[in-house]
Amino acid sequence: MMNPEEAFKGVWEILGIDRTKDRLTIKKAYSALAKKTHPEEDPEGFQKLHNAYKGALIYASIPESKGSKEVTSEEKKEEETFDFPDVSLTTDEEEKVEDDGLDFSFVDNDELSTPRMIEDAIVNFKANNGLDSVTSFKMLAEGNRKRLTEILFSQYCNLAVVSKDVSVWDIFFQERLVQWYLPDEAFRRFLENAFREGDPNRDKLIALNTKYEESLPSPVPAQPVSPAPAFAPKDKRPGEVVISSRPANKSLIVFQIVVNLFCIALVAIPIIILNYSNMVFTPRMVDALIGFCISIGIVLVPLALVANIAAFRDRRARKGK
Amino acid sequence: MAIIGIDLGTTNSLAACWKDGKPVVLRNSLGRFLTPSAISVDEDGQILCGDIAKERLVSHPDSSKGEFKRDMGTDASYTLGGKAFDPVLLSSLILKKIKEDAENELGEEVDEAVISVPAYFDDSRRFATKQAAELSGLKVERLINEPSAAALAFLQKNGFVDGTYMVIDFGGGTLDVSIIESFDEVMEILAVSGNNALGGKDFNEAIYKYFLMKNEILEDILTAEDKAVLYKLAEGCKIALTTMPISVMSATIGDKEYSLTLDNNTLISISRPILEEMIKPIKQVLRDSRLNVDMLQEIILVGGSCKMPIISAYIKKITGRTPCTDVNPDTAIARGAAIFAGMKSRLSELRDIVMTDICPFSLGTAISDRYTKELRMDFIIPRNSMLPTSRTRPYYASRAGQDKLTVDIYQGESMLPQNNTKLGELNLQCPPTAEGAHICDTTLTYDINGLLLVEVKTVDGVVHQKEMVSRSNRMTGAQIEALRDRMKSLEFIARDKEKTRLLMARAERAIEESLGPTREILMKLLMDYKAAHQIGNARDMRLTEEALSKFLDQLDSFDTGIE
Repeated sequence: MMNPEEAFKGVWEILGIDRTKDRLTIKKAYSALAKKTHPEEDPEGFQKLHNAYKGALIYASIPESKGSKEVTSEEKKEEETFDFPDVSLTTDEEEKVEDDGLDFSFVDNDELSTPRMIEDAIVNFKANNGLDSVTSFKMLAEGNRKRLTEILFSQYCNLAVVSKDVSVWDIFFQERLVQWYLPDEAFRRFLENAFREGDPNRDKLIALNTKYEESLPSPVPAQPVSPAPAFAPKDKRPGEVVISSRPANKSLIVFQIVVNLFCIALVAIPIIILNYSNMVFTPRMVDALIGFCISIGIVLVPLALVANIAAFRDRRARKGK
Repeated sequence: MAIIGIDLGTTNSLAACWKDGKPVVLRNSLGRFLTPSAISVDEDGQILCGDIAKERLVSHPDSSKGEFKRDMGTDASYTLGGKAFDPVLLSSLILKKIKEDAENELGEEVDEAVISVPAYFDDSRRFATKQAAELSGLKVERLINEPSAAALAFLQKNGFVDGTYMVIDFGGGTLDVSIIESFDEVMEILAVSGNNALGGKDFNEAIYKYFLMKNEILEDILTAEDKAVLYKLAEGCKIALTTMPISVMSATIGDKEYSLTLDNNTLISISRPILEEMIKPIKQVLRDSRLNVDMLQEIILVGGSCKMPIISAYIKKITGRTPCTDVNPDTAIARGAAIFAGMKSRLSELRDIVMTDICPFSLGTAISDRYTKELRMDFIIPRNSMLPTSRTRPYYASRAGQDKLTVDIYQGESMLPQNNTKLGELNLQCPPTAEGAHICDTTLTYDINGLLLVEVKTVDGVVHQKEMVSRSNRMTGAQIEALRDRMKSLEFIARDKEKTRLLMARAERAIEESLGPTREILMKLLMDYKAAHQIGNARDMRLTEEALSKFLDQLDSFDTGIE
């Protein structure tokens, strides 16, 4: 398989234009040259030209948004904090990297920016470094293994940004290397930090974390899921207590209870009086009593309705968004 | 000396030539543009061709044959008038007729042609087409894909407007869909897909079946002549529906009269399976070229079947776009082939037009999987690669001390080599190596004339080369009998394994449909899944199953813009 780096080499010289992301310029340069290097006359030259053209189009499809830059810089920053307590990366191990014949080829390659190319690079990377099987990466030095994990992670970051598809993380978590490290709390913490606050991926990771912990036969000391209450409702677990973020409005509750009691009384009292008292009622008195109740009811019932709605909304607001 | 373009179709064939700055369709000896692709042998042993043979198809079904294009590249054989014919021979007779008619019309000798073939034709069918041309005395260096030819004709007529087009070529017997991008007179085919066994004939069949069902006729009581008559009537009924809202089909069988009234809505409902089958390749090309249907400049319909109003109505319904039908669906392909013939002979007016085509199928070699030791495909040239193309992949020894290599070359999309077409093999010696050590580099070169060259370079620097020409699988009667017996002895798989098998089958189907890293990931996931089942670890089984099914769900939800 062609090395992605080589794919870009010389692309611009062949097309005879400066590095550009303008598809129209690329296409114009290509079509002008294609007429000179006609496939009927010079198939080999044309194939070269066509490859260059495709390469340029891939380059042009790299999103120029700050999004990708943001993640790269952030992930670089975070990589430094991914530090296993028992291992430190020494210079010896750096040299050993070469000895192992490991392939770090895409560490600082930011030209890889279509989902296809990154997926390609990931597959290559895993194959070259023997990350496909547990036995082969068990043999690696801890430092290398860690570094490879970091690289793998950063590539998945790129993939997620470029493909704009959150589900790549599902595949990431199925990676053997990741599965291997997942029991390690430091690694999980690193991943959690690496996902930005409010990133939808964070949600996923937390869900996976909880799932992972549940699946363990003897649970590791439960890790505080997240300081952010914002994620609570989505992965609510049985027995989880919802903590309100602000105290209940006491006067509202008192008001609601009082009004409701009055309403009940308004219905109950006339019924009790009419049915169970020993008084003798003239029809006129009954009319007056009912009229009195209705006139109070007209005011009281809407009031009760308002109070109930207000209290209900208040309670829902407190339960969290 | 002229070079012509020939559309060798399933039902009709025709020729065109580049003349006075435009493609001109040539008339045959009867003064018609279309020559039906049918051959008949009369009582004296003489060969009849074209319209006559088409008529005799109904009258003398035993001594006539049409639609042999569907059998190109296979070992099919027909007995016409006591003589055995194969599809190549029949095609060459048609080509010979066309060549003679063209020479007559042009008044000069024709010795070279560009022949159009369905894009989805595999290597053996293409080879058979070239063989047929050779037999008929035509030199055919280049075959052009039918949708590419149609697009070329469309673009030439409309002055090469930039944009991305979808060409749906729905002919009598084949369906081809391709995506073509045109920019500044440079055309590039982005993706091709199709169905070799879907066409207008299937609608005739559907109408025929519907007629039998409505009139409660059992197919068994019909004679071969009755059937042929009914087919013909069904076709007539279908053609009538292209211009009229309602059509009546009536026939006398035995001494009873039967009739059927058909309108387009009924036709849609009885041909729903065909229409649904038609959508698959449309989705496939969009997926392959990563395009949404809204990004297309135009959807172009060509081929005889597209004259049916239900086709364009159905395409409009599912894509939300009104397909363009202003190219003559019957002659577009021949005109495109003529333009291509002109381009090939480097005419000055066509000098600046560049057209690149692609390889419609994947080519690769069989390798032994690193973990499960199962044989699987390693795709060297993925489908939709631009031609000419040359790709190299390194291979590693599967066991210690390996000193022999068998490089099998396959064509197809299945992950299992035995499901693909074997094109050939190379057996060679190499220095013994350790397990997993680099043993050779295999280069596949697929050139612009569709010739496949295999080059294996072993670690000691020796280069082995071989030209591949595909040979169809030969199957003797005994083998077929053996297969039948085996079918009888087969039993249904256990109920509890169905789910597992379904997932595997789904994955295999997806592997055939997908390309590049997706395919690699799928293959790996599937292999993991299989390995987990072999080992029998419950957690691994669950994890791999989840991974695989999630990935498949995600793939299937790729939005092509068609519901």
